[in-house]
Amino acid sequence: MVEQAAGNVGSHIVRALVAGGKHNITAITRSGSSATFPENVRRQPVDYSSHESLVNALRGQQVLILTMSTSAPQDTQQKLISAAKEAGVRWILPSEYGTDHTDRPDVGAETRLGPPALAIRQIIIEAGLSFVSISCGMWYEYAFGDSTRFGFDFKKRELTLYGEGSTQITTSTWAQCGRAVAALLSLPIESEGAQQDQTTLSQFRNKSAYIGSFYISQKEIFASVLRSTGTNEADWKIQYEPVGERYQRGNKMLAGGDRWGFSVALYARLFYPDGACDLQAKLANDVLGLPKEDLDSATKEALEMVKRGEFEL
Amino acid sequence: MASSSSHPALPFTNHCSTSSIVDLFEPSPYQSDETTMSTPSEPPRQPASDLHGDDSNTIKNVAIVGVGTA
Repeated sequence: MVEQAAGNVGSHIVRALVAGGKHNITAITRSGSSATFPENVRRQPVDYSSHESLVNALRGQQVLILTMSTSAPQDTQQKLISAAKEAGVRWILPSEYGTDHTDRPDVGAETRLGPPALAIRQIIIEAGLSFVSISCGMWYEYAFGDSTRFGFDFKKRELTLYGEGSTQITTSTWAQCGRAVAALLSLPIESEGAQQDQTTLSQFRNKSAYIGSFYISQKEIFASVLRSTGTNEADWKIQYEPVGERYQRGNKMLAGGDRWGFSVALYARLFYPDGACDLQAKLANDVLGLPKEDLDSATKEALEMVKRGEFEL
Repeated sequence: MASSSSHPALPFTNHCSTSSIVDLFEPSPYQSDETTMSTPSEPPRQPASDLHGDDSNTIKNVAIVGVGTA
């Protein structure tokens, strides 16, 4: 169900757009797809191997939102961008939903997420289109799904703290990501008349829109988990691993062919005490009218997802 | 960038497709499931008008990829 991570953020974006009632929404699906969508969402099957099919599907669209599954062929974004250009689409929201690739290229390089994201941005610009990247930090509920992420093994009631477990990072719920996209696409494209101080979509042109739900450490997440599960610290086995050692261990796993090493290294790097995943000073939450969310409610929802096995492979 | 059409899923990439990472691996068994969306709990409002609408300074028509699978 891993690929539903991508599906999940896309689903939340669609829900938020539908709830806003301001957009005509077209879901691009591959031919033969059995995916179902809410009322008011038009389904447009395409043949991804056909440029013409993609162009025809995108004609009349102003914005293309990409929330690609990691299982999607790796040139799919490029194909879609090329088709979008020909179809007259003006804006692309690339499939990022991550950290600060703009101002922290070091982190992007060390997590391996930055270079491909920056390459896609460049392709969009060279195509003469505009992008807005959603930089949301780590997905909160998704990070409950495996012990390589926030360090929790819920079945065993074990927690590994990276370093002291007190480094805070920016996280976002999928719902907040959905609301952010809907809010962005509800802005006027350009400022209107004398209203020079109004927020516009163009202010985000070829930039990141930074959003967040919780700026939080592992220890703070753990405290929320304890409140949400009614357990005590004594019920858990807590281990510590120096964050640098964990990062190197993940890289070694990856080099040895163990793909989980990527996740180990990624999350370890983001919990370095160097602001690697600290987006707080740049958040556009207020500008976009995003709500403040309740931490324990989000934790309970994430735990329910774990219980339902939504993250199991 | 990769050109293969059958790259594996990374079972843990939070976010974007990362060909440089995916290239390291053989195809995995983790193939994508279709996502089924239920009707949102909040009832949808009246949809926007067709095509670009009568206000060229707003976004009306939005396409999204990845809600199901690509």
